[in-house]
Amino acid sequence: MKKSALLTVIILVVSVFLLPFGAIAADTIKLGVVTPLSTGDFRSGKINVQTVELAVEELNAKGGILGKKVEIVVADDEGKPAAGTIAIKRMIASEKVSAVVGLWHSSVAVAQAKVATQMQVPIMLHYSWTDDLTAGHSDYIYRVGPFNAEIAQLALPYMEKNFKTMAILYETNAFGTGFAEYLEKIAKAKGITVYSIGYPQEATDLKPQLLELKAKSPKPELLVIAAVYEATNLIPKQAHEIGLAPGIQILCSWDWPTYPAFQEILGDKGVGVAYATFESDKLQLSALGQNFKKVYKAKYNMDPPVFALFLYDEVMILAETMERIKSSDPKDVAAGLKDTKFEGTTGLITFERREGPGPIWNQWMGHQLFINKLTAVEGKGYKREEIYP
Amino acid sequence: MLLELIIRGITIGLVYALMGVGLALLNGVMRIINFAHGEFYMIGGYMAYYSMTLLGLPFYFAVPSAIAITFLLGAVVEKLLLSPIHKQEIEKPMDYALIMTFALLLFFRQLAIKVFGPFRHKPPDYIPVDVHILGVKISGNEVLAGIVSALLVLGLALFIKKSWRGRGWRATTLSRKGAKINGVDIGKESWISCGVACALAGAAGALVAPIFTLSPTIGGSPLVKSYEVMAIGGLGSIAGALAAGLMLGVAETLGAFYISSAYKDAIGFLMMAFFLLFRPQGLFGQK
Amino acid sequence: MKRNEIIVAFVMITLGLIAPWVLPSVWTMVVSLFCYYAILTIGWNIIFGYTGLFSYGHVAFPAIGGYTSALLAEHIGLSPFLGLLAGGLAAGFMGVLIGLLILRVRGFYLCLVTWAFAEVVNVVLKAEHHVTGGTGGFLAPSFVSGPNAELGGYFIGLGLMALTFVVSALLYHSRWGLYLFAVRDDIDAAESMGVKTRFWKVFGFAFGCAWAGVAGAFYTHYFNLIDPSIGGLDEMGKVCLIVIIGGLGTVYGPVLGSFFVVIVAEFLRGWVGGYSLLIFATIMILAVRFVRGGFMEIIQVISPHLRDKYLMLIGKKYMAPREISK
Repeated sequence: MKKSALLTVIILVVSVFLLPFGAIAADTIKLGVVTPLSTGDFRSGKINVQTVELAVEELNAKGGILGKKVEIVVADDEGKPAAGTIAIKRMIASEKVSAVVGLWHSSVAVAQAKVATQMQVPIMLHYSWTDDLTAGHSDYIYRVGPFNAEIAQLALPYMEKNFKTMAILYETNAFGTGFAEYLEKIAKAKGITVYSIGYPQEATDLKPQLLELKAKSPKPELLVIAAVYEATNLIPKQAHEIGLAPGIQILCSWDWPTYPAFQEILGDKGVGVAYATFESDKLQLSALGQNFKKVYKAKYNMDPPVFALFLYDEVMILAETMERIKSSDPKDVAAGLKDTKFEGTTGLITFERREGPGPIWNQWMGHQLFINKLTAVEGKGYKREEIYP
Repeated sequence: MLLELIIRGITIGLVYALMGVGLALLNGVMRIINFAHGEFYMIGGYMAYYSMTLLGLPFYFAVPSAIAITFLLGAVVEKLLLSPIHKQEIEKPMDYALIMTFALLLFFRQLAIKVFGPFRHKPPDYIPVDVHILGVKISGNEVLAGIVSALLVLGLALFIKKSWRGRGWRATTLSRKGAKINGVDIGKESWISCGVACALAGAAGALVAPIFTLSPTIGGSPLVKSYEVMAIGGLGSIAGALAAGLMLGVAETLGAFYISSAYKDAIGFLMMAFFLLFRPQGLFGQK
Repeated sequence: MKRNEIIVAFVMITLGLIAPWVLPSVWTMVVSLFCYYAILTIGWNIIFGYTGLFSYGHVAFPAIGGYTSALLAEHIGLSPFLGLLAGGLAAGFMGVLIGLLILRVRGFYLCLVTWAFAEVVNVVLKAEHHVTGGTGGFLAPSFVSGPNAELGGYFIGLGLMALTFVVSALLYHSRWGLYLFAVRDDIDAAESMGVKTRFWKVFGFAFGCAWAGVAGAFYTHYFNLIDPSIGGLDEMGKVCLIVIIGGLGTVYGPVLGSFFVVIVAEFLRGWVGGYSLLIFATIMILAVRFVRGGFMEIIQVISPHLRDKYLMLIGKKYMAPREISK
């Protein structure tokens, strides 16, 4: 019995040391990045990580924040709400991050935001569109990126001017459903006929839905696609296959046609497709923005999509806030973000709060929407032309 | 519109039949449940893709190379991992097959994610032109997929009926002992039939690769459809699988349009459940 | 209930109660996940291990339980505690319906039919996205609001798991359990002896489903979220793996298996990162294939020994009629 007791003690002691304890607070400031890296929209997730790495490199080159080096902690949320909740919970519980950025898919972010609020760590959203995220009026959720209602409003004049009937094909998640419902509401108010069809986000065969649209009368002239999962490139392709396109104008709700995968799947059938974005050659990027674009292109050999600019802004805002309030404690940071006045890459960033129900809470309202159209295949991408405003 | 839907339904139905036939064969000869069937579909698709993009082979090599590789893979898997079942070494063969093939599903899928990457790929169109059948525009790829599927299914049916080996398989499906007595080498037939079953799945994957595009996780839906086809058509019946595949394809396409596109996948399940509950031998299977 | 089962339950609860103050805080989440799987797999063990019904649609029932609880919380403000009950009842009721439907179906066919049921539930959940939130999922309130939400949920999970374990152990040793085993082992003999096999079949099935529903409701209010992936094929495979590794038809099987799949997996996470699933699959293949007598039997032989060793080590006097080591 004595031998076994000794053995027990040894085993217990050894296993306690094997337990993955989080690093004891070193002299670094930690920034968490939770984003899809293996499934879901992992291409955008990779860009998110690259952007934050670049921003942090810059910060560290200038001496870090409050004299301490900045460290990034990355976690993969797999684009799934269940896995994403666990990922952010694990990150906040085991690493002492001052804030979390990089959240991507709206439906995942909604669950993650709840966790962050509960665990009292601020998160910043750079491109998660659902209104629900800020509609809860949490003190820990800040959004530099746009939101569904805003985007729909900004895009409406383009649709009103050019089309009398339109179709919306959307993923049935927080982003897609929110966007489609709002857009349908305001378009109908302007007298546009709207057909709206939802589909499960992991679907890979959209022909049934597209056939349904093809059979509608009067025929839809515009097809708005609100998608971010697998089907994003398949929908234009299948629209061609069943004969819906090229007769109909396809409008992608964000700039995924600028990714190389779009051309691989669509080839020359991609010509004529339009997409909405928030930066344009006409928009004057600030010195900060121009510099970021240059550095990003040099390092990663592609133009950063517009959301990278927003994410870059967020990291810089966090740095500036921590310097201003002289603390990296997440609760303090959450409170300090309120008073942000930052010259961002696309404009001056402040966070608005509008009393009463609505998504304008800790929300930046300075976005401008542009619509580009792909005009010809060029190398591995396309030539494009701005058609709105 | 109705005509268009029916033609599309038949086209996809033929591919379903191909998947289901492979599974029916496997289930008949080896009497196991196989969760990894969909993964061979996925691998076949990738083999077709890489044979065209990496090796630069023309499209008429794409499908045969997929078939060859998945046949070999299926045979190797059977010989190494599944042979204990027919050697009667296992106490609970159902549990064994279940865990083993589920582990294989995980294994192949994760390996594919690591080796091929999680991206969505598309091989170049096999037949880049569109074809008009009875006034309906169908892509050349879809026509090719339908025709080749039909040929493979019919080819297999002929093989089973006429060749000595094929008749051996039919015998094994009906009675293992009886087949053994008549000189069928169960071990050899097991790996050959497993190879053929996987090759059929691989062919299906290769045929539809330019239509549905490829990613490491596409094996899930074909697996499900194969079981539906097998249940509706009847275990061990090739004619049943063909008929069931066509029925399923057309029912899904029509149902998605006239009833609801959101419930498309439920149609197959409901059909399968109906048959399993009220007519377990399927359309043409044996009781 | 056997003495060693009482001891094990006591030990589990004690460890669980002190864990939040001894281990890093991320482990409350891991242990809660373990509790979810333990309750879920105990349910499946009752259905297949005790009653012999191979249900491949088991994971539809936590989905039913979870969504019921979440929707009731949202629309009529039902407390999450009552939601546990509601979820369990809803799942159990569904279990009765399905159980009656599949009375005549056996073996392989049963597997396919129950699988079909689970997939139909999935399709419905995704299609009716206006009600269920679709693939993005549905948010639900915590058991206890405020800063103690995490800890409160954890203790509830622990309590539920202990309860489920005790109930399954009681069932195992009771006459009702005997009826279930009779249905599993020789249904014709049982029928001829006067056992109402049809009743016990449905009971075994529905009882297991009810616990699955409770597990689902717990998950929903602990993670504040439910989405259709909880009823997916991957989850079903996990359930099978857990119970078969742990020991089908035994009392400890599901708990042991869940420990292995959840807690050991968490240990490995830091070291192998994205390759963990691949490694796990490879190990499974090799182990199932090459260990003579099969992986399951090895574990079933070793696990009682491990348990005995453990009990010995922590000094509890263990009076068992059999020898521990040879």
